[in-house]
Amino acid sequence: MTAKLELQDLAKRFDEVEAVRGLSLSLAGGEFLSLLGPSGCGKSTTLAMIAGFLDPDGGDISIDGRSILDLAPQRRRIGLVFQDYAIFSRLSVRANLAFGLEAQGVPRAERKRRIAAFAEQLHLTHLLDQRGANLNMSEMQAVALARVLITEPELLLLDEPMSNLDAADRADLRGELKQLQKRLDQTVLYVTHDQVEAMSMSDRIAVMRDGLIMQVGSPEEIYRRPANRFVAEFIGDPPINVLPCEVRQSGREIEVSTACHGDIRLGAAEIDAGEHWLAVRPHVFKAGRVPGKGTAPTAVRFVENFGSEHVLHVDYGDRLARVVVPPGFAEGLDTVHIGLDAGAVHLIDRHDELRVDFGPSGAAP
Amino acid sequence: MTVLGLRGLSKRFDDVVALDDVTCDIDDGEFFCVVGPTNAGKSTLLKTIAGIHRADAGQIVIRGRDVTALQPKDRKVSLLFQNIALFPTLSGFENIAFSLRTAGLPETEVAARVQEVAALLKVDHLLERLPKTFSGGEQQRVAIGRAIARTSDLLMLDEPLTNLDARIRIELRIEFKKLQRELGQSVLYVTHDQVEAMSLSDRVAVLHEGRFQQIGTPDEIYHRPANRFVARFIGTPPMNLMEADLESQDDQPTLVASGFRVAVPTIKSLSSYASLPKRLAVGVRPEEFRVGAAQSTETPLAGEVFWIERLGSKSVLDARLGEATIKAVVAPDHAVSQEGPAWFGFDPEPRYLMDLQSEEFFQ
Repeated sequence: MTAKLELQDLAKRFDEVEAVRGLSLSLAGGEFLSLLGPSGCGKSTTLAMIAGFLDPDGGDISIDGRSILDLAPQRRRIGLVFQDYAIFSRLSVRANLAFGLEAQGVPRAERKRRIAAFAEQLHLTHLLDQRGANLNMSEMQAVALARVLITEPELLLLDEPMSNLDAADRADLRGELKQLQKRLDQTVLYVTHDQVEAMSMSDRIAVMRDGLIMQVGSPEEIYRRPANRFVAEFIGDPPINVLPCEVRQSGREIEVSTACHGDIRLGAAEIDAGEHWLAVRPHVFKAGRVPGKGTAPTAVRFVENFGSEHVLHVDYGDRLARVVVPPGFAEGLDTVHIGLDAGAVHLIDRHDELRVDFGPSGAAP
Repeated sequence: MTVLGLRGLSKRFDDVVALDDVTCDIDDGEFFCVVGPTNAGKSTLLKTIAGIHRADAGQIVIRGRDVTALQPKDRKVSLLFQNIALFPTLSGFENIAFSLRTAGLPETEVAARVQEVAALLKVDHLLERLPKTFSGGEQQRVAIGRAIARTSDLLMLDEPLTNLDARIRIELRIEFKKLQRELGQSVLYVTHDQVEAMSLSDRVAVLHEGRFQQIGTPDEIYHRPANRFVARFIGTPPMNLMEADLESQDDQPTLVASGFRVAVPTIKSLSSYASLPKRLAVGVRPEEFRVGAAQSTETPLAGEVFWIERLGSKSVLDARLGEATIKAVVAPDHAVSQEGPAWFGFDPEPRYLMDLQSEEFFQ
C-alpha cells in the first residue's frame, strides 16, 4: 500500500538520555527510506514510536495526513518485521502466509492467489507445505517478510531484518525485497546500522546520530556529498580516510597540503586558512608500484584481503591511510606510490566538522 | 611448532552430527579462522577444544600434549564468547586484571600488564570506570583485554565482533589483527562473517555441516575454492555458477549455454577432457565480468540488466545472460547505469569449472 508517513518534531527521553530530539521527516507514498546510524542513535526508538510501542514526549506522527498517536498499535495498519523472524514454527509456510489475510477477512480465492504470488516472488513455492520449524534462517526471514507484506499494510517497518543472515543470503534477500517493494509500491521505513543495506535498497537515507538527523538524501548524495564528517565516515566500506591538512588561500582559490601530498588546488571555497580535514575515500587514492606525477612514496604496514580487492594500510604522516588495490597488486611490496584525484576529495572544516563546497579549480590538474 | 592439533574430532548431540572428523594443525603465532554459517558446528568446536564438551571421537593435542581427557582448567586455552560478560561491579582495571589475579601474579606485575594491554586496546581512560558507563565497543575492547591479559597457549574467540555495529566492527577488526601480531599470540577465531575471516586470518577453515570443506590461506580459499559451498560462501556477491554443455568444436572443447560459449579452462588434474561430464557449471566471480553499453569484441554477449544495486564505491548488476541469472560488479560511474539491455564478456576468461554431481571444482 502506498501511504504517506509524516514525523513532526518527534521527541523521546529516557531518564537522562534524550533518545530522539525533535525529529522531522516525511516519506512519500511508496518510498523506501532507511534510518541509518550506530546503536544508540535513536533509530529503533523512532520506529517503536511509529509502531505504537512507545509514546513520544512531544511531536506528532501521521499517516496520509491523519495523526495515529491515539490509535493502539494493532489499529495502526502497520506491518513490522524484526531481526528475530517471528513465524509460527508449528504451522506450515502456507498457513503462516494465510494468517494475516484470514484475520483481515480476505476471501479464500484471493488468499490463494496472493499466497501463490508472494511465495513465487520470494522463492518459497517449494516450501509452502513445510513447517516453519524445518526452515533454515534465510527461509524463515523470507517467510517473516512475506507474511507481513502479503497483508498490504499502509506502512512497513523493518528493524534490522537481515542481521542474522549470512552474507550471500543477505545479498539475495536485498534484491528480492527491493523489487517486491517497488512492484507493490509499498511504503517502507527500514532501520539499520549497515550502510550496505541502506545504500542498496533505499530511495532516501536519513543518517542519524545522538537522536538527530545528520543528513537526508539519496544514497548517491549521501555518498558523494556527505554533509559532515560523521556522515562521511559512516558511509562507505572500507571507511573514508580523514587526514589533517593545511589550507592556504592562493588567489581566489584554495590549496591544501597533507602529510604526503602538497599544493592540491581545490577551487574557490569559503574556509579560513589553517588546519582542517581532507577526507579521501580509499578508492580515490591511486596506488602505483613506481613513482608517478604527484605521487608520494609510503610504507605498507599491513594488508586486508577481501578477495576481490585488497586494502593497504599505509603510513600517512603520523597515522595510517587505507588504499584499495586489486588482488595481487601489493604482493611482497614494502612501499607504494600513492597519488590523489583532487576532484574526488572532501574538505571538512575542523571547527564545525561540516563539509565545505569548493568550486571547480581553474588550474589544469 | 604446532600449538593445536585436532585429529579426527567428532561430536554428536542425539541425532545431530555437530562435528564430523575435524582435522587440522594450527601453528604457533598463527591467526586461524573457522568460518561457517549458523549451526555449522563452530561453537561446538571451540567448546570441545576448551573441554566444555567431551569429544565422541578424535584427539586434541595442545603443544604436543594430548589434552582430550583433561579438565578445562588444565588445558591452558582461553575462550572469549560473543556476549560480552564483564563483571559489572568491577572497574575496567579489575576486569582486565581478573585472570592475572587468579593466577596469583604479584601486584606490580598485574598493574604493569593491565597498563600494557589497556594501551594496546586504547582503553586507558576506562580503567577507573565501571562497565555500565562503557559503550558497546568499549565493553568489547575491555572484554578482549581480559581475554588476552594472561597469555595462553591458544586464545579462542567466538564471534567477538558479531554484536557490534558495522562501523565499530571494522575498527576493532583492524586493531585486533595488529594486536595479535604484536603479541605473537596464537588465535583460533570463529565467525560467520567471511569478511572478517578473509581479512584477519593467516589461514581459514570453512566449516559446513560439521566438516571442514577447505583449509587454506585467504587467497587459496578465494581463488581456488574446493566446492560449491566454499565458492558461494566466500566473497560478496557470491561466485556465479552457470550451467553449460560440454561440446567439442574443431577439436576444441567448449562450454556452451544459451547466453555464452567459452573455452574449457585448463585443468591440471585432468588427463583428458573426454572424461569430463557432458554438463558442468562454469564459475565466474562478479568482478570477472566485463560489461559494456554496446556490443564489442570484449563484450560480445547480449544480456539484460534487471536490477542495479548502487553501493557507492561500486555497483552490482543483476542480469540475465541466456538462461543464467548473474551478478556482476562494476565501477559506480559505469556506462551501464540503467536497467535494460547490456553486453557482457569475461576478464579473465572463466577459470572455474564445477562438477554438478559432486559439486566440487576441478583444480
